[in-house]
Order: sequence, then C-alpha cells, then structure tokens
Amino acid sequence: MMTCQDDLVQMYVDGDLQPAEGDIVEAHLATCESCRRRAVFYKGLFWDLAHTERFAPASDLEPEALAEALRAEWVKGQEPKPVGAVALATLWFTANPVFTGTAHAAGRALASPAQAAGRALTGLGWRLIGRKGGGSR
Amino acid sequence: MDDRALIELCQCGHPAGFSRLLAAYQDRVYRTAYTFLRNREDARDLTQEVFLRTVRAVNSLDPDRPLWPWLRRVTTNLSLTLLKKRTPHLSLDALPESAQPQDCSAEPAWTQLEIREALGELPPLWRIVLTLRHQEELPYEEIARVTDLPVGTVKTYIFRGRRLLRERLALREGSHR
Ligand SMILES: [Zn+2]
Repeated sequence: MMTCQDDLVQMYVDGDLQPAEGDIVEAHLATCESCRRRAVFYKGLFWDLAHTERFAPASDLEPEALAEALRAEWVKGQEPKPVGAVALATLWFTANPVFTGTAHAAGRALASPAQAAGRALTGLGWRLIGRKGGGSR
Repeated sequence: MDDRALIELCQCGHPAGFSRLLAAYQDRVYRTAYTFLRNREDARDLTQEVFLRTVRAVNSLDPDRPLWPWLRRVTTNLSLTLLKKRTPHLSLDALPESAQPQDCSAEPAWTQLEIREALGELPPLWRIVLTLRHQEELPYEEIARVTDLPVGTVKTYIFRGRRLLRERLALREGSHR
C-alpha cells in the first residue's frame, strides 16, 4: 500500500504516470481523504497555471510603429555585411551584448520611469521604439 | 494567415508581413514576457527585442515550421538573461526564508489575486519553468532545452514550485478564517 506522496499525486493529476502507477495512486486515493483533497487542489491549480496569461495586462505597444521598425531592421539586414559577420540566427541564443550592442545607442530613450529596466536592457543592445509617448525615433 | 505565409512575407520584406506578424503574435509574446518578468516596462521592451531578433534571423526561419516555438524560446532566453543581469549575486532559484514548507492539509479555494501573488513570490526560474510546463504544455526535456537547465532540475522546480503554491494558498485560506 502506497503512503501519501505529494509528487505522485501531482504526476497523477498531470497525467504523467504509466497506467500501472496510476492504478496504484488511484487505489491510494480511494482510501486517503487527505490525498483526495490534495488531488482536487492540484487539479484546480494546474488549470490556473495553464491560464496565467490572463493575469498579464494587455500589451500597450503600438503595432504600427513596431511594424515600421521591423521593416527598417529588415532593410538594414539587406545591406552587405563585412566578411566574417556572425550568423545572426544564433545571436538570440546567447543574447551576448558583444554581438547585439552594436546596433543603436539606446541611451536617450531611457529617461522613463523604467530607468532601472533601461539600464539593464541597454546592455542587451535594447532600443525602445513604438512606445506610446516615447518619441524615441 | 498561417505561419508559412507570414514568414515568407517577412523574408521578402513585405510591410504586410511585419504587420501581420505582430497582429498574430505581439500580444502572446508580451503576455509571456510579462508572466516571466512581472513588469510592464520590461515586458514591452523585451517584446520589441524579440521581434527585432526574429526579423534579423528571418532568413533562417523555416516556413514549414510553426513560429511560436521560436518566439517562445527567444522570449524565454531574453527574460532569463535580463533576470540574471538584474540580480547577478542572487540565485534565480533561491527560495526566500518565508517560503519554507509548512504543513497544510486545508483544502483552499483561492482568488485570482491570491494565485497571482503566490506566483509572484516564487523564484523567477520556478515561475518560468511552471509556465512552460502548464501554459505551454512542454515536456520536461523541452523545458530543459529552452532554459538550459538539467532535466532533473526542471522537475525539481516544477514539483517543489507546485507544492509551494499549495502551501502558500492553503495558508492564505487559513488566515481568512
Ligand atoms: Zn494519502
């Protein structure tokens, strides 16, 4: 007979067990009130965790301005590159400022309530664009 | 418009491609970034950067493959980079003193505010891993790949994170009575 095991109950609710293991947990649930409550709890929790994006506010980015910036970025990418340029496709993976910091100065756009954010983001070669009232371009 | 058409339009620099790319994914990227970072300014800046990087890499994108996994991976990577930069001396998975396991057997019913707060109290890396598991429904191995963590660590964060949420929410419930 299985003892109360939180991880197993989580896996059971998550559908993460082999059928035989699931049977064992079910047999335990049939006799253990505490684990039944646990399972009900996790079921509700998992549902909420699957919908955490509901907690996020709507994006206030202006798609028009951002689309223009993306198009400008594309045009820039069409310009001939110096020999030995690193393949851009891999840059995001490392997010290395050495590679990404070259594009634009981001400094003057950062006089915002998010100065701390700005400082951190500047290191990533950040540019603030298409932002309501930002006027960074 | 499907991803194939989106990617192909963007690859040839068609303005409609970029507009539709944003129409299709801007909100999703933003909300994911907000879930990870829990800060509107950061989420906004990060969303812009995700799309800029996508455009820079557009020629390497395969039109036959869905775009969201790429966007999700860039969003996750940039979020982790930013969080690590913010707290260089603070482990992203350090558990606050107040978060040590408590015994609880109550069966709580929580409000959205309570679960939002409880999520906010988790170490960022735990929250990211839990979001990838439940919202994105990724297998453990894929979460490990995206976050560059060992699979065992991913599982530990997921199981401990959920248990911690249970303890938190049960305690809150208890304090209402
Ligand atoms: Zn039990």
